[in-house]
Amino acid sequence: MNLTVLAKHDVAAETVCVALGHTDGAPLPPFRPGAHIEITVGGLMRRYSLTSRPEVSAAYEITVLRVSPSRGGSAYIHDRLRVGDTLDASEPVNAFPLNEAAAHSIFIAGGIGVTPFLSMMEALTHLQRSFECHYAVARADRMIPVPDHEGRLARYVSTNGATRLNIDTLIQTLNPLSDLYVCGPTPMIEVTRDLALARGWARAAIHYESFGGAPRTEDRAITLHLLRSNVTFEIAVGTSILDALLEHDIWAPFDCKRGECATCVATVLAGVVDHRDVCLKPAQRAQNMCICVSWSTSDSLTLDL
Amino acid sequence: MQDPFHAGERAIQERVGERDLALLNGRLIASSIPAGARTFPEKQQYCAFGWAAPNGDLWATLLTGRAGFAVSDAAGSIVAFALEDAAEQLRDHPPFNAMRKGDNVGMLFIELATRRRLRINGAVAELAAARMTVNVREAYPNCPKYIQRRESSPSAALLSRVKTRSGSALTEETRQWIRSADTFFVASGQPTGLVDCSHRGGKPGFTKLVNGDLRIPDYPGNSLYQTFGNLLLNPHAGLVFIDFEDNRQLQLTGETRLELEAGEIDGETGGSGRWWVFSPRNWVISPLNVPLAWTAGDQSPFNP
Repeated sequence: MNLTVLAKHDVAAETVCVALGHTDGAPLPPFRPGAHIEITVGGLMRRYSLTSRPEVSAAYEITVLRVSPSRGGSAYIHDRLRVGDTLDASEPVNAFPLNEAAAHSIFIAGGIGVTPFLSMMEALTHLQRSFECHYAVARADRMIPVPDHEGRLARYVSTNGATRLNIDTLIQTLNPLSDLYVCGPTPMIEVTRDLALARGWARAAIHYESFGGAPRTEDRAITLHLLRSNVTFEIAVGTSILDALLEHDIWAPFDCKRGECATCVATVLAGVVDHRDVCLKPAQRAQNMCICVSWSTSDSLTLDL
Repeated sequence: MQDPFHAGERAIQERVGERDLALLNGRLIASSIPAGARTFPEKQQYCAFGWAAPNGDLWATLLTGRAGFAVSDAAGSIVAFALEDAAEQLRDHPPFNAMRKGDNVGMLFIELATRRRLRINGAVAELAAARMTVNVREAYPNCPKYIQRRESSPSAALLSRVKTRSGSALTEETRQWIRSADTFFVASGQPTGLVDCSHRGGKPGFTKLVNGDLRIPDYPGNSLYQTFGNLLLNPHAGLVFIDFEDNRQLQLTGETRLELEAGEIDGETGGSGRWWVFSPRNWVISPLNVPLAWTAGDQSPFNP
């Protein structure tokens, strides 16, 4: 559907909140806690969690951090998108569902990863359910306003030793019979998940959503060699290995493009992989990689495709 | 969001709580072969087929050939097959003994060497002695989990000498075949006649034999539940097991029963707790139409 930018304002450093809706105020389709929409900005499809209240049907709000280096989406929203612009948006997708029946829910958020939890916490408050949220940011000025929900929110800043989040210590204090939600950078998800499993959490009670394959500042262009297809090409930072394959008419199945489903997994013959998925186990990573999000720290990478 | 699923699929997705995931993953279902995948069929040496016989029985088979035996048109809307018949028994068993123009087929292009899959469903547009074309109705990628790696190359010397034969009750030979298998293909169909063909794999022995029935774990997958959705509405199914040593296939047709909440012992279902039971009614053993030299590689790192 076509939506119009109704408002855009800063909510923290490098972080904007964008309100999208119909200019005539026509109601938007309802959404469930934790839902996201896909919007097309500057020719790129991007997913953003809805940070507005589910009962407000006149506008969806998304909260977008400028990432650097940008894959194009956040830079466009920050620098080019103006109130009055229209863009193509999907209906809400509920890929990170909330278990509303849980006895107690724990949210652990890293940085902008707090966004899907805003609507979840609203819903649990409305249902009078027990929950707590641990929200950690790298820089204090990037902390977005999150309702305190009567003391259920704890804030942490990495650069300030006194309130730094130590996930290991935190997990030891939590009840493994709770539902655990974690959203943030890939290493944070992995650490939290592994610590929770070790503490006796049931796998089904650990829920996570990753940022996908955001490039990192240390990334360099790589030379990709495909042994079976007998082709070699360069991939620049900002293009995923999967997208580069598809651009070269090499068929590779895929699904989530966020390192969560393992559909795009490929066998690595040579090169050093920087794994950024959240779905492969160490034994599965020994020879394989998720080409939608993972990158290489070696100059060249050879895949069995 | 458009819903590409039928009532049976929706019922299973809702029952297992994966309806939202299914809708998310189901967006990749297209009405023609995606542009990036149109050259995939022509590189393949085999394709699994699902087909419903006029009496309603479901059958699965593996059609083999040299690379290039299957070709998509430029638009991704037609797939043409060369029906080479080195074993001269292709018309002695389902589906090619009774297939007719207009029949629905479910096709699975699966490259066991790279674990890439492409599902294509459609209807037979032309059927001649050595050629068949299929009009594509839907196509989508499929996840590579639980695929045991196998390389293959054409090898005329490996033609199976088996003569097509059939029976009803399982024999010691067929039981042993099923018990040792790490791979099979399953055909299932909707009451409307539309057919799907899917892959099942695991460690050798993942298919159990219990009182003459096959009991198969349902490992976590792509949340679409296309096979289970069909089986909920129409319990008929067709299975095909491949003897990669002797280029033979064991086709079974029968009825199924779903055990969605059977639970799990020793991690046998990979955490799903789901099983399905297949009661075979008839079996057919036949040679693969074009023999291939198969070399087993590593097991799927996803196997429970």
